[in-house]
Amino acid sequence: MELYQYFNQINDSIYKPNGQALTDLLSLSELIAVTINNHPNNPFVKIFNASQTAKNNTKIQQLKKIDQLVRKAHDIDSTVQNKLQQSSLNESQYQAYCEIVSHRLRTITLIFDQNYSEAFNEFSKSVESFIRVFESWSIPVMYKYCYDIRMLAKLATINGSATVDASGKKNDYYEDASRLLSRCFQSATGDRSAVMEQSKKRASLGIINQLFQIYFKLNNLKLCKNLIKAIESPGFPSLETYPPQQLITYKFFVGRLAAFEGNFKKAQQDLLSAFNKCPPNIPKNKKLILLYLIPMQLAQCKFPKKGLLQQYNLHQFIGIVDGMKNGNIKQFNQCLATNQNYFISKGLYLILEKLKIIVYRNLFKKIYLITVSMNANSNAKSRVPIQNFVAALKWAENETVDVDEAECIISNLIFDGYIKGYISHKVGLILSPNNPFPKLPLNYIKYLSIVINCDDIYRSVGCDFEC
Amino acid sequence: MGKGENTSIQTTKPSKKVDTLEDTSKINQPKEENEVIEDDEFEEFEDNLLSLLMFRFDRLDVTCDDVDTKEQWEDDWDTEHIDDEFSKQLRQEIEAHAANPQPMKM
Repeated sequence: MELYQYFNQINDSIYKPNGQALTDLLSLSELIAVTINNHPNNPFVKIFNASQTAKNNTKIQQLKKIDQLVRKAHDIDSTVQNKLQQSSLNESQYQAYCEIVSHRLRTITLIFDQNYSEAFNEFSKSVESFIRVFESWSIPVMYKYCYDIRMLAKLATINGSATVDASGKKNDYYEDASRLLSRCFQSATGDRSAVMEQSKKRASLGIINQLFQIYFKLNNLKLCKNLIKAIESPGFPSLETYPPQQLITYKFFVGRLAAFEGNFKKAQQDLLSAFNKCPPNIPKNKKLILLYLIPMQLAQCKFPKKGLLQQYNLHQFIGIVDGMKNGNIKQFNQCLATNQNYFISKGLYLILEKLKIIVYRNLFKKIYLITVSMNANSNAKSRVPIQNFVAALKWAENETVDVDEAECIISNLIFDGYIKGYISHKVGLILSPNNPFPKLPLNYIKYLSIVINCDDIYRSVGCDFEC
Repeated sequence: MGKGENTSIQTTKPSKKVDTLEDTSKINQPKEENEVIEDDEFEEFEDNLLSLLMFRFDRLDVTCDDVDTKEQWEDDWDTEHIDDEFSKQLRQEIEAHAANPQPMKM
């Protein structure tokens, strides 16, 4: 009886057509999420809220009932053929829908049997069949299928059923899922319809977000570039027309990519927009965005207030922020060293290291102000002996600092535009009489943007994602 | 998963710096904070958040820099004040070691 009802609902949703109804009927997200959570190898237990738990339980109970009936049936394929109506569909469309449903029913059985590897394969077939009948009205199904295939890849990977590759290849399921998602993307982008409101291209962003997740996990950031190029090209819907929650996810990944490539200004804009638009009831996402936004804001000399860092438990940045603001190079270095592993694991260490130039700028400005106040009555107000910098650096950073090293740092600051002045070996640093320390942030930040070595950073994000 | 890579990175420590400031406090400092490993996966937004998001979008479109931004980020820190604790110590250090600026020869 239950199975009969289930097929009726599927028939209804296809013939109306109702994409959202079909999505709910085909969703495996709840089952996969709970199965991952209960898996002994899962290192990160997700805490569901009451409504999520209720939704999960209802859905899983439904699937259990259906699964019991499916197991009693002798041949799933013919059962599906009998129950699913062809109606106005042509023969190949009808066959595709039959395959979508039967592969999915097998997937459910395999998940309950804890055979996650086969479940992944079986669901892949369901996705392939879906691609054949994917239409504009079924875009929500496409989103769901793309998400579910990624989560199944995660489940199969956690389970450890991946064939161990001697060449050190990380996880096959993610590779397979990314290939499948690429085909989903192609089926969306291949739509030639002139009316954008009805184009399958509107599914692009949802698919790309799943691909980003996988490419970041596989540490294959170069592949993201092609996707961005495609989706931001003129033949595509403008970004603002996609569902807002997809845009947040997209901006998060695009912002991170820009950061890794040293394009800090773009990264700051993308991440700030994602952070401001991300709803506060998903603190995990807010924190993740903030983690990458903070270094970008720091490069623009916009400092997170302590309350913000405490709210999201990002205390690792407190010493970085205070050190930068006060020119306290000792505090900055100490904080960087103490949290070195944390920053490296997030791919942020090299970026933060580049901010040191701003710490020096603020420290040297203080040295200048102190020197001026010491010589209040002298006419040498715009001259600071190199010895003052050496003394400060010896005390605050490293006892081995000598005149050459201090002059070297000053030269860099002058070259980068942080200080207006010149060095006279006899006198010291001779500062411009007006505005010797231009207001931060500087319009052009040569140093910050050029020196980043992308390869190092790509490597350092390698351990970024755990699953 | 991924744990092997972490250990390989941990072996590189920064070159030891000589400490001359707050030497005593250094002893009590933990070497590395044991950070709880968190899942770094960006959560999928649920459909029912849509209405809430729409609301925020509307509001943000009108006032681009919303109030939160000002409450959360500080950009007016660059002052001429040199009376904080760090600056005081810095002054002492410079006064103790520094020579007076010599008049520039014309």
